[in-house]
This record gives sequence, structure tokens and C-alpha cells, in this order.
Amino acid sequence: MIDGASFRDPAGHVHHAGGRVFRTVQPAGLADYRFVRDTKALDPLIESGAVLGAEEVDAGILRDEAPAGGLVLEHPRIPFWSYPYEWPFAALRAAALAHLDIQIELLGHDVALSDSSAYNVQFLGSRPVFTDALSFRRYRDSEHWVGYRQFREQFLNPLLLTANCGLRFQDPYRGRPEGVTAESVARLARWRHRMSLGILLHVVAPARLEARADDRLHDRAVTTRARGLPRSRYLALMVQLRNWIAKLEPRRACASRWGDYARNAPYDDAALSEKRAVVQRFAHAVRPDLVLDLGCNTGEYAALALRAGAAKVVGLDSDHGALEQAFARASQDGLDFLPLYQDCANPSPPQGWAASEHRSLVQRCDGVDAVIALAFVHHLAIGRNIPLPEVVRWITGLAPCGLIEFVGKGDRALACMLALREDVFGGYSLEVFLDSLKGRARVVEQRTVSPSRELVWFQTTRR
Amino acid sequence: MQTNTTTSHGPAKARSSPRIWKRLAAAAVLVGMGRSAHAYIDPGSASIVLQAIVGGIAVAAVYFRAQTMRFLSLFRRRPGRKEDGSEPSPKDVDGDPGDDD
Repeated sequence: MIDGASFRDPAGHVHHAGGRVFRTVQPAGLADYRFVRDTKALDPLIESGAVLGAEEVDAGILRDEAPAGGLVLEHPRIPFWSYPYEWPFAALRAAALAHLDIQIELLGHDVALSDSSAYNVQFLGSRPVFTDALSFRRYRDSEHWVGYRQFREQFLNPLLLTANCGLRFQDPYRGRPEGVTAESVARLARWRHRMSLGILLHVVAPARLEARADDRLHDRAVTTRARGLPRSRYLALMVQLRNWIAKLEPRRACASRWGDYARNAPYDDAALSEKRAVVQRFAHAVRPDLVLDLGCNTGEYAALALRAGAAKVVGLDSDHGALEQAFARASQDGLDFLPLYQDCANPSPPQGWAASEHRSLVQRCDGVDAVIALAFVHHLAIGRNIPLPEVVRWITGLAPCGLIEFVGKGDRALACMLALREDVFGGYSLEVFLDSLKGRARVVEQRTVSPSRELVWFQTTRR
Repeated sequence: MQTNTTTSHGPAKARSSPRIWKRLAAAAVLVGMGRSAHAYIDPGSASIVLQAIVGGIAVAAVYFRAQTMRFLSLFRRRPGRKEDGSEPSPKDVDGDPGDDD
């Protein structure tokens, strides 16, 4: 089956068959593929994990989808596919730097990239990996950087939106999956930033020129293109972008409401120890391959689950500051943990062409075999007015087993949430929660960690 | 190729048919050029024009940086630093357009 996102590049397409991932190299992409392969320039990048490996296999494996006169490659499977509009700031920055490092390295081997799509980068834990074997092609003498605009829109501009404009890039990026336009950043950048050389060159100037887009500019582009770009300028452009991006920080845009939760959590020591013990026991007994941690915060329990036997964790949270801390934890400790931005009351929908180019969050959870939702349910049920049975239905539909911490109305956290509003949540109780859960799953273990907090380990055969 | 001085006020909403043909001819020139092979994304006119300028400034910054380092090296000994004028790498080049933020 051909991948819904793989249709733009005539050089080849991604196919899925029998749980394996293949990439066809169509005749249009064959010469470049062979050139790059024969330079062996990719070998050290594949070895270091910067580029996803690709092995040539018998084309017959794809049967009637096999390319006539082309080749078939097999890639290792990416455990969880994520999109740039879900990445924390530090993840997008890491992906941008990895993208530039690869291009800078390969240019020395006469290899260039045919695009600069952020969607070609995926994460294994917190480590970015470039996945598109057919983006590499022979560098043609004096060519321009074809992906310069795409790089700006999909990497640089979203980062600047957060670093310089104080806005979180994820929501506008999701609204326009092609990326953030130079015009948006130019309009929102503060005056002191607008006067910086980087913003002037890479944001304000393109915004002005793109707004003009007249025949004169078009003619000038044609003659400039014919004249060519010296390799030294091509390289210097990428090197300077790299050095600039490496210094970008999210600053106040990622201040956290929940980053100090671990220190300020409404537990006494005994309750906390009990909660940690149950998480460890669950991870140790289930040994899940891929855990989805709903409301992962700074990744404390993701790290605990990984140490106790989980192979990989994908965390979801809507607190940007907590996500930055979680990503830093994953990077520093080398954890196979990928924290992603997600408002679970409005999870990523299917997007792009025919609504099948970018899959929804739930569609991408097919490899998830355990879910943990610690002190999370009330954020949807009380915070977002979603009926409790609906929340339970959604969570139990994500994985065949899981661990849910239910926070009752007597808890300080809930009292705080209800302090300024009328309590219209008559259906929010431990009884309703357990009834909803037992209608869909078997309760393996139930632990009271504090008078108002209950941990329930469930198992279901339904997906 | 003719230049048009009447279209500098922004994208024209109504294009006359000769202009469309002119655009198509320009596109045909682009397609016919040897360097267009396999560039399946549209780089955009602005990006092409800018690269010459921005790339030039980047090279100048690299050169300036190298000269500054050479000058400073007269006062500070830094064994092992590249002085051979080879192409810049991220390790060699520290100047960046955002330095003045």
C-alpha cells in the first residue's frame, strides 16, 4: 500500500507491506540515487544514525506496486511518526540543525538535497533522523539551494515565531502544514528584532519580495538562476543559518504552568512512593514496546517506565515549558522518549491532501501497546467539560492495556479547578469512572494512593 | 526579456493574456535549463533572488571572521587553527546573521 504522504516526488514513493516499510526508486530518480549511493557519502551518516538506513531488496516483494525499471529499498520502521507541528521548540531546532549538518557535510561530496521538508525528519527518542533516501541527489555546479524557501518556512520561521515573537509555533504550523510564512514573522517580530541582520535578510526581505511577486521579480529570478550561485555562497548560507539557529531559545514563550508539578505535587511521600511503585510494577509486568504517556509533564514517569521495562515512550502534553524540560531530560539521559505537543481535547486530525497526507494522532497509535494517564482524566472531564465515560472510552481505545490515575473531587487540584466555577460535574466520580472502565476493560489492579487518588491498571482486548 | 514597470504595486489581480504567455515562456525557459532536473519543489522567485544577496553577505561575513581571527591570532596563540583558506565548516565559522540580536 502506498503511503498517503508520498506522492509529490516523482523520484519514488513509500510503500507499506506486511508491517515493513519500502521505498521505490522510480526511473526518474535512478541516476541520482545511484550517484549518491556510489559516493558512499551517506554511509557514515547512516552509521551515526543521522540518516535512516536503506537496503536494496528484490523489487518483486512489492508485487504489482514494484516500479518498472526501478529499484526497491527497505527502511527500518519508525516506531511513532510525528509531525513538526507537534514537536517542542528544542526538537524543531534539533531537526533544523541536523538537516543543515547533513547538507553541509554532503556538499563536500557533491551531493545536494532536492528539498528541505521538515516532514522528512523523524525522531528516535529525542534524536532526529533524516528519513528520505530520495532527497539526496547530485549537486549541479552553481545551482541554487532549491529548498531555501521551504527550509525557512518549515524550520526557521516557526523557530523565530517562538524565539523572537514570543508565540508558540505549533498551532499556526498545524493550521498551515507547509510552514510559517516570512510575512507572518515579519509582521509579528518586534522592532529591535526587525533591525537584526538575520531577520532583515531571511525574513523581512523575503516577505517584501514575496508580497511583490511581480513580473520584474520573476524575470530577475530567471536571470539570477541562469547566472548560478557560487558553491561558496551556497555553503556559507547554510553555515550561517546553522550558527544562528543553534543560538535560538524559546525564552518566555515556553514558560511552564506545570513544570514544577513534581515539586509541588499534592502528594505526601508515602502516596508518591506508592504511585511510583505501581508505575514501575506495571511497566515491569507488561514490558510494553511503545507506551503513550498522556499528560507526560516533564517526563518523570516516562523515565520511570523506561527504567522498569518499557522499550519506548511517546509523551503528550500541552504545556510548552514542561515539554521543553521533558525533551531536555530525554536528550541528556539518552532516553527513548519523545515528548510531543498535543491538546488531547483537540488531538491532531488527518491533514493535507485528501486528508490523508498527515495522519491523525489516533491513526498513528497503531503500534502503541500501553497507555499511562496519570492525573490526566480530570483535565479533560472537568477542565474541558468532556463527559467522563467519553474520556475513558478514548483512553481505552488507544492501547490494549494501561494505567489511569483518577483524581476525585476531594483532591486539592480539583478543588482549585472548581473554586471559581459552578460544579456542573455530577457525573464525575470514582464510581462512574470505574463503571465506564469496567464496561470496556478488565481491572487488573486497583490501588488507593491517597484518599482522593486511585490508580487503576486495566487490560482490554478491544482496540 | 522585457521588464515591466507598471506592476510594482503588488500582485496584479487581472493579467492580460500576453502577460500569461510571457509567464509561460519564462517557465518554459526554466524547464528547459539543464539545472532544473529533479527540482520538484518550487523554490520561489524571491528565494532565488535572495540567495545571491544573502549568500554574498554570508561569504563576506565568513571572510571578515577569518580576517578577524587572523588578526587576533597575532596576539593570541591558538595552535591547530585553520589558516589555509579552505571552505568554511560550522566549526570554522562562527559569524551568524543573528549576532546583533
